Amino acid sequence: MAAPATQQIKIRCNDEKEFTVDRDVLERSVLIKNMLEDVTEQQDAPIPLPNVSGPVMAKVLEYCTHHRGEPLPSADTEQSQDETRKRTTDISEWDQKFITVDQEMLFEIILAANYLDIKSLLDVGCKTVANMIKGKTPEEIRKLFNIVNDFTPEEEAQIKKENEWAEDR
Amino acid sequence: MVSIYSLIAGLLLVEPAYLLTSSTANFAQKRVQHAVALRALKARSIQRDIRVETTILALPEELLVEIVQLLEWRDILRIRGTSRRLNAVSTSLSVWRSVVESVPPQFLWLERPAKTYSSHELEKLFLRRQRVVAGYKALAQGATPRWRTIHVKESPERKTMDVVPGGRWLLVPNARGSILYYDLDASDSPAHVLTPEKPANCLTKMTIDVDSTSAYLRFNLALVFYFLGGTDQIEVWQVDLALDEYGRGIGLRAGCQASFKQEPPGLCDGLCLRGDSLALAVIYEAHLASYIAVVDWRSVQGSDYPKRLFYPTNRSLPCLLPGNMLFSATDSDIMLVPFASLPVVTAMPDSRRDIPRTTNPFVSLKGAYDKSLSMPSFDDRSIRFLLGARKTVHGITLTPDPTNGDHGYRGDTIELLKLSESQRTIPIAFCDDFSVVWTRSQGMIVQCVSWSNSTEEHFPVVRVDKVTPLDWNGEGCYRLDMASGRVVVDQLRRQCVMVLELSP
Repeated sequence: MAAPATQQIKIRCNDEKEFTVDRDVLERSVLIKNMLEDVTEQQDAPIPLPNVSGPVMAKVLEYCTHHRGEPLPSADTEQSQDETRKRTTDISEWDQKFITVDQEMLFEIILAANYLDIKSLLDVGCKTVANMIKGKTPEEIRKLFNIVNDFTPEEEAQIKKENEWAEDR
Repeated sequence: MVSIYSLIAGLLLVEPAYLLTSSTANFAQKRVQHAVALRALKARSIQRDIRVETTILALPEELLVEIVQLLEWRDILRIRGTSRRLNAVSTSLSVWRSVVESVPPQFLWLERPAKTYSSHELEKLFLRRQRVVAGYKALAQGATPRWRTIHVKESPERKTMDVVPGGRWLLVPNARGSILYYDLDASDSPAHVLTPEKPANCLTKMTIDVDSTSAYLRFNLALVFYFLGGTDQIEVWQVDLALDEYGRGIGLRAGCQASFKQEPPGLCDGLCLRGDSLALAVIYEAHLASYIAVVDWRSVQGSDYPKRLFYPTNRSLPCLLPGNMLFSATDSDIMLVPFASLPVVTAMPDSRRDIPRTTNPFVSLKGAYDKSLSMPSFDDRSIRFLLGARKTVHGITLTPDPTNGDHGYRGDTIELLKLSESQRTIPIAFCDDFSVVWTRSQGMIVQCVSWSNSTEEHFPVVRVDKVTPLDWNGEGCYRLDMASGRVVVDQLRRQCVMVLELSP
């Protein structure tokens, strides 16, 4: 077998789509990393990923390939990383370009990143959605995300009244 | 043909790679490609059906919270109006913890760790702070000022009170030198005893020093008791938040840390506590002079204890700044004294000539008037205070300037407020971009001004005493607490303290 650095891992998505990927790229996913560490002997069967489809996995792998070799956030640094992450919705140029996809794909990527436990990708996705919401009125947000207004007119008027002061700048 | 196709499809389900070993590899491969293409097509159409469903509301609760946590508070309020689900997310605990953790601690002055509050409490406290400006604007547009009256048991001699940063706790001494505290967050605010009474009536002065490293509210309280014909006494108490069984703050409790005789003896004009240092301004009758004394209160033992003395050019109130600097302003100059460099004395010198005099006032303030300076506010880089003149109030910023000597500072002045008629103005308190100013003919004014001297919108002056006339002539105490949006004004002759709530 080849050296661990070039070890190839096969994965299978929920639409039967298969990918053969370098182990270090795949290990950006903490879920897969832990899975591989648990299985010591060489497995020929692909790892099934029943929650991710092929097209979404292709995007996720594009991200993982670009960021391969970067240090993974450890449990120790998580706290401080969380602090700096909060409210800084800056996204690097490459990530910005990468995440410029339609809404369905964006939410699929977020779900996949959450399932596969790829924290940095999840952050990029969440920041992107936060940036989309920023500065918009409730009506604009509803329209943007196709959200059905399920309030009664009274409830809506009440919420509007409560938050009126914040809009007067 | 059919059977081969079935066979291939069947094999495909098992392991497509095996097909390549068969003798009909080429043919089979084409079939496989065909089958895969068909399947991919089918998959894509299934995929599209799934993807139509994948909207923002398809995300689980924890991911929605993750996203909303990244928003500014105004956007969090906006998503409230979109749908029930996002409304629920916008009230979640981690969202408001994240909002509160994103601001400096001095923004809210929470009295306990953020993690001990409910999301509703955090939201309420945060939005109260944000509503100060909105409340101020409402006043400017003619809204009735909301005054509350706190009746205090007091001595007619009282000239002191304090508000703990955060705006909840009001501290007032009574005639016997007992410090009483009042909960301004409660709808009724009865008096609670914090420190015990003295054996005789006395004039009490006090100051507080908040321990900003403590997770729960903790401050030191320095008290000076002036007894007619008796010995002047100093006490330092450590005050902590008292918690109920659910971990909520329900009061204050104090423990005595130090008690010693005031030296030099005499009427204390004012005092300031910072860490281990206590500074006092005292009128020392034996010399007919007003001195400032700095003592290390934790190490005081008996009498004739070590102290650093200096003799300002005029009566002035001390303020201790970081880096062992003493700020003091008289009616003619401002002093910044590195007090650690002053000689240490034990017994009082025979003559005032033996006490170092500040010979190099830092800034000369020509045209300033008695008591027309506010107490300073400071951060790591600058010291700011207000200066009142006849028709104007100025903001002065002092920043360290090494080109100006060892303890050199540079002063910048900006005009913050201009009045239409010439009158005496007394800046009484300021915090962030707000200031409270007393003027002889117009009464109390609250003004929102920009210290950054930028071109930001300039808010109109608000007279806040037109509905409830204040019995106040520029004396007594006053506090402005931005975390709670409270202006607290002492009403000496009415036995009450008036509280203006800026935040609705």
